[in-house]
Amino acid sequence: MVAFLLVTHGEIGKSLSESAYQVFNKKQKKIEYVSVNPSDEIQEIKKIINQKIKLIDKKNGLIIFTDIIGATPSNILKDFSNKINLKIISGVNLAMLIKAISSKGNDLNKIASECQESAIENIIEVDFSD
Amino acid sequence: MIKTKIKIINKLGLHARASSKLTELANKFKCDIRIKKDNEEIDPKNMMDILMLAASYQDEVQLITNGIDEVIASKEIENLFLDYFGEGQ
Repeated sequence: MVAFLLVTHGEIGKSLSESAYQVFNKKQKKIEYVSVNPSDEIQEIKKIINQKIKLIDKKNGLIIFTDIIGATPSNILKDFSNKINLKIISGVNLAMLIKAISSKGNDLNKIASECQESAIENIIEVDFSD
Repeated sequence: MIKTKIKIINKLGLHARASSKLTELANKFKCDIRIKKDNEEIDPKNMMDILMLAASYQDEVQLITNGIDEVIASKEIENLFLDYFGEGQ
């Protein structure tokens, strides 16, 4: 099974994790998250991320979701990017997370691609007129 | 192949939790399953596809099952709709 971790600004990751948990009727494990706030020390956050990664069962790989590329939560992840079997994806939304949780198999590359496609497919103008 | 017309009777329609239950049930069957609304046809074994259908209260959908366990799949999926997805309303 591929594992997931959220590293985001403030409470975004916490809220996404809890919302996904509710959607799946609490049958799945909660997705771990790390909140990054303006007052946080970068080294401390890196330590927390490291601890979370160590504790997660990630024998088939890990996907870290972050919100905006180029911002601190994303930049912090640079130190982890050389890890084997790790994918970092920015622009996380609930569609991306739901796709991740409901994904099948252990193919890290395939799941990472599907997550990105799902997130993009869900950004549409909603038209209820018909 | 079995085709069944189903009216959505739960107030929230095919929203996220209902879609999650439908996907979980659909994945128990080996047969090919499709849900059709207007001109769109999706695979309910994929939860995001169900959400993209944006099916609401009182919408009518067509359930199509095709394969070895199509009879039981059709019945159980129809029952999930008729049971308001376990939401009571």
